Amino acid sequence: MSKHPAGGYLAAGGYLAAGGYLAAGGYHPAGQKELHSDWAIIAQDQLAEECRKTESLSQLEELRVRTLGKKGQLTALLRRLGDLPSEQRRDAGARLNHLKQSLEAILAARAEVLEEAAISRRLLAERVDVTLPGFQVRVGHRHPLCRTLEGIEDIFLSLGFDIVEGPEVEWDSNNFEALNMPAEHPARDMWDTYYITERMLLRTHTSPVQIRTMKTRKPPIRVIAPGITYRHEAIDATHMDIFYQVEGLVVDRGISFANLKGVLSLFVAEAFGPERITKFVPSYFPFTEPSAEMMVSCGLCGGEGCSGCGHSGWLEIMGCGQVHPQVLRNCGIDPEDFTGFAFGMGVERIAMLRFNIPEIRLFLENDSQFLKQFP
Amino acid sequence: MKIPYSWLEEINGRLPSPGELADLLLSAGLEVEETLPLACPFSKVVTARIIAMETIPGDLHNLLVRVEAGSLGNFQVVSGAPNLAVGLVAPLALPGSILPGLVIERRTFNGLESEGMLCSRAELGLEKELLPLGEEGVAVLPEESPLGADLGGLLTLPDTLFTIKVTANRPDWNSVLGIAREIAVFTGEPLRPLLEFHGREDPTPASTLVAVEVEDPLLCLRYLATVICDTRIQPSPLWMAGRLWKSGMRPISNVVDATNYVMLEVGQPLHAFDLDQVTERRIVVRRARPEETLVTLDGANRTLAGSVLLIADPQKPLGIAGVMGGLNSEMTSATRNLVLESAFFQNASIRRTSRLLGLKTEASERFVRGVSHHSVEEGSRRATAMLSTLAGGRVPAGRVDCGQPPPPKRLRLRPERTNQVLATDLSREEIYTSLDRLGFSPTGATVFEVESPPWRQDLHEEVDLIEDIARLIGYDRVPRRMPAGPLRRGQEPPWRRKWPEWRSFLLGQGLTEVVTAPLVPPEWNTFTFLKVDQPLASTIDARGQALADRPSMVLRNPISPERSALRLSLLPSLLQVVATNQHRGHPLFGCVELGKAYRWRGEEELPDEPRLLALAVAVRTEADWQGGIREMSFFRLKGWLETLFNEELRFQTIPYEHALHPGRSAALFHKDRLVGVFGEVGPALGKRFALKEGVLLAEIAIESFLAQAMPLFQSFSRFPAADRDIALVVSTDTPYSQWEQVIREAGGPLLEEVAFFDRYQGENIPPGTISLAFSLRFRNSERTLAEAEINRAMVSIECSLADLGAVLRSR
Repeated sequence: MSKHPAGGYLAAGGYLAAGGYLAAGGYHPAGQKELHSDWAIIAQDQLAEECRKTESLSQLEELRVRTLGKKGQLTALLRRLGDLPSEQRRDAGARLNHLKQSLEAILAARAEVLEEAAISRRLLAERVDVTLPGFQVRVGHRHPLCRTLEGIEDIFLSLGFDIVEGPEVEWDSNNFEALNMPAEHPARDMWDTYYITERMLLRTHTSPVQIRTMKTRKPPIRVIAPGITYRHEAIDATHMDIFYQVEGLVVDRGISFANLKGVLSLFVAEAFGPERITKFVPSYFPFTEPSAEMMVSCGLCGGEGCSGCGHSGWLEIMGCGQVHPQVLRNCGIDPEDFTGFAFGMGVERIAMLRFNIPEIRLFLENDSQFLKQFP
Repeated sequence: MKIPYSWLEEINGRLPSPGELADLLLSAGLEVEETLPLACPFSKVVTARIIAMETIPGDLHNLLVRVEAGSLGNFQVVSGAPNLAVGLVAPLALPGSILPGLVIERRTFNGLESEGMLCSRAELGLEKELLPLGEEGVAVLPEESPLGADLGGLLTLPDTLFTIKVTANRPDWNSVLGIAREIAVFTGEPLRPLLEFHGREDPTPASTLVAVEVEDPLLCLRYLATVICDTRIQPSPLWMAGRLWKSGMRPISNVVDATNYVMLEVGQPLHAFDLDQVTERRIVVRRARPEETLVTLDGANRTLAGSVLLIADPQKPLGIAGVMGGLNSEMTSATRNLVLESAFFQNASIRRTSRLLGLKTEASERFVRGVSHHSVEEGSRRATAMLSTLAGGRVPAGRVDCGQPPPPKRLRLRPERTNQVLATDLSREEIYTSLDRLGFSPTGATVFEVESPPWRQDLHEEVDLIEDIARLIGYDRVPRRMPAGPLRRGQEPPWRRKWPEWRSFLLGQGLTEVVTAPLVPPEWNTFTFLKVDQPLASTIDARGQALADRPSMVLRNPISPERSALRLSLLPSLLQVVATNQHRGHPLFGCVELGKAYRWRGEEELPDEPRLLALAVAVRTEADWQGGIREMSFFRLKGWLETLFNEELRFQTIPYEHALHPGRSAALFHKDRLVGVFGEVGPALGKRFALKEGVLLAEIAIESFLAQAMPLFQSFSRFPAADRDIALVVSTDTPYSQWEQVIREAGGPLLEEVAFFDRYQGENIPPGTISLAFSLRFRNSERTLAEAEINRAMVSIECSLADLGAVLRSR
């Protein structure tokens, strides 16, 4: 069998015609099968070859139209089926449909190859230099002081302490008198005070919130009072006239000094890590007794002593103590029935320790070079 | 206070090492702020007196000096010092002595052997305060110094100096004796007796030489006067000068030094004055008369008030009680007879006087913290004897004593209460022993009865004793235990729950959280910002009240004008942050703060402290390398606010003078409250803060937005929506909001969404008009929309728009 010239698909039809396969009346039951087989194989081979020559999906589509389209060769043959005697028509129809499926499969296979090639070409064309910079979203920063404060608050919230608040501009009576410091009490000198009027001042600590709480709530009380406090104090690297404190107060039946040590040691483990240990040494506050200063082992030297802790191995973290019976009485609570403990810590100091910040002034300065160090 | 280790050692006897002692003091409640080793800068320097001097032939500069050095014998040295004189006592460095930067050897000058060197203060490496005499030559030592004595030994060098912080409740600790007493409680070792002085007694009763009258026994609880006659003022001995100098006091003369020394030793401030200057030799302790004046020892002429307690004679004030003496009765070199005052002034009175006069002295500080009848008596006794010994005076018998010490205070201590408060299981015996060691002399069977030691002024109730026991047994003995109580998470204020949501949104937009000071320059409160968080009526309608409250709250005692007023708005603070960062060359894109403003409500009420959210952000257009544009503008900020406070907000132009740009600012209303203000910084404010780029500001009172409603499910339509666009040409005089409202109202229930997508002015649009384009989305919740339904709604919208003068461009 000779190969047809170019455009051989047409020739396939021609071949069919020539072979008389479908020629009316030219059908021989004997040998018909072989004839058909050969012919179909040749047609498939030819189509496959044509397919291989196509280089694009549009060329392939053209080929499909020529073969299987409305005016395609195979379609033409199918149309002529009606010319066959009915006894042959069915068999011939089945064979032609079989052929059609085969041809479609060949086209589809080629289409897949071509599509893949096209995708590869597109992807190649679309490639980017991945080393070019991305478009980062500019995200702001949390202030280290707020971060520290909220961290402290969260620890106490999880321990069942409610957060309560009090005004920053306070009465002298709440800031001093009710805290066991009547007028001209020498301990008032521990807090240099900004005054607005004779009786109105900027609170020097968050302790007046203790008074406000005990006057409005009944024990059991378990609260912290965070907020800004003020001191009439010259500003330097470690002193600021404005700073944040967190006050704590627990009042209930049977509250002991051991509870103070327990709660505050737990706080230190949560805030600084379980490897840090605490020590309580005697101190004095007019509104607590016994009073203590809580110290935490230095995180830089592990308690060995270094310049960070003044070579003592310990860092002072907060003042604390059992609520003074007189303070309870001042708030209408019977100290024989209820006892409590209170504590107060400076947030800046804790932030300075946590982030290794050398100067307290940096917090309120808000230099972006400072703030951007804290995500 | 500063205390030399050697002084404590003299009273306590055996002591732990300085480092261990510091730890002991800490556990007793005495914070040692500094432990400073004091080195002896020299060695082999002894005291020597010049007994003869002769010139050296051919040497015009030096003299051959013979000195005697007690048991060490006599020496000859060659010296060129200008102040050499026979009888002068000076430091002699012997051969082998090491001075700072100098080694002394036996040397020969012109054939004359020099067996050492007479030293100046500077050569010894000592401070001028310690050896003030003989600056121009060899150091002049007190005449009565023992000869041949080691100078380092006389000054007790080397030594260790403790700086101790004494808590306000323990004034008795403000003395060497007080600290020594506390150390003894902890070590259990008894105190050694203090160095005793014995003066020359005189049988004349002191009461015949001086009279004391206390007019105000409430302010002067005790006044003890003793008299020392025929005193001779001269320098103090070296051992005493050394101690005073180490304790931070300048040695001056025997009389002044003796009172200072005893003050350091027993904690009692003492005042010696010239008896011959006291009219009628009668001392009156009284309150000052109005406008009375006194020249105090520091030379200041002070006008006194009626609350000030004075030491006076019948004619004139002699001193301000407990604070400072008067110049008129000052001790001079001519003083022969002196009166020594040891008194107990009420601490509140001294504190008031000291604050009134702005005058704090060593004495006033001690009186403020409190002295005791015990220290008054001890101070008087010791200083009188010491003065008589050092200044060679006679002491007339007895003393003049006004005031009675109260009987010792008695307290009760329940052992079970002690164990309850401390959560300990101390036995009765252990509690007894502790009380005994603390000097409380406990008695009683079940409940201990104790007596307050005379030097303790701080014991008022049982808990004071419990604290002392805890101190003594050590706080480490108290266990760590969690309190009982229900398990639950604590509650927080609503704003604290909400704030992290808002903040993460704003940080996501690039703003940085800041914390600024509420104390600001008063000028910042004069910028007219809207006072947010007010009912509508008091803001927009009444212009006077609408502006920030003035005058603002100003501190009575600011540390600087920059921090003297409480702020009315956070915005100037934020502008300052923006400006500072700009000027430092690393501009901040934007910042946000949640903080308070402070508004005066009169003297009878505490100020209002509304919590405000404030932000400042730079007006900036930024392009990326692909050409994408990101613009920060008025409308982006407005969009943030709309996104954050997803509520019914109303924006309105601010109709009066304001620090913001008049055309690019708006007041923000929620319901009928003015809740916020935002817009671009106006030119005046921009200039004031020297801003280099435009800044947008916003300040919002958050109170109205804190309600936390639990969202409840709403059914929604699953039928498809249909979109229609509409464009209209309207006059530029009508605000956008009017047109959107017309569309929404006319659109009926089917109109689900109105999206504004274009605003155009220019070609094809007549001048004075503007084209607005909206995309409308319709949806029926019950069925698929019919075309006719949409058309009906569109016609209704178009008619309403046309009625108000809008020209429809297209459909």
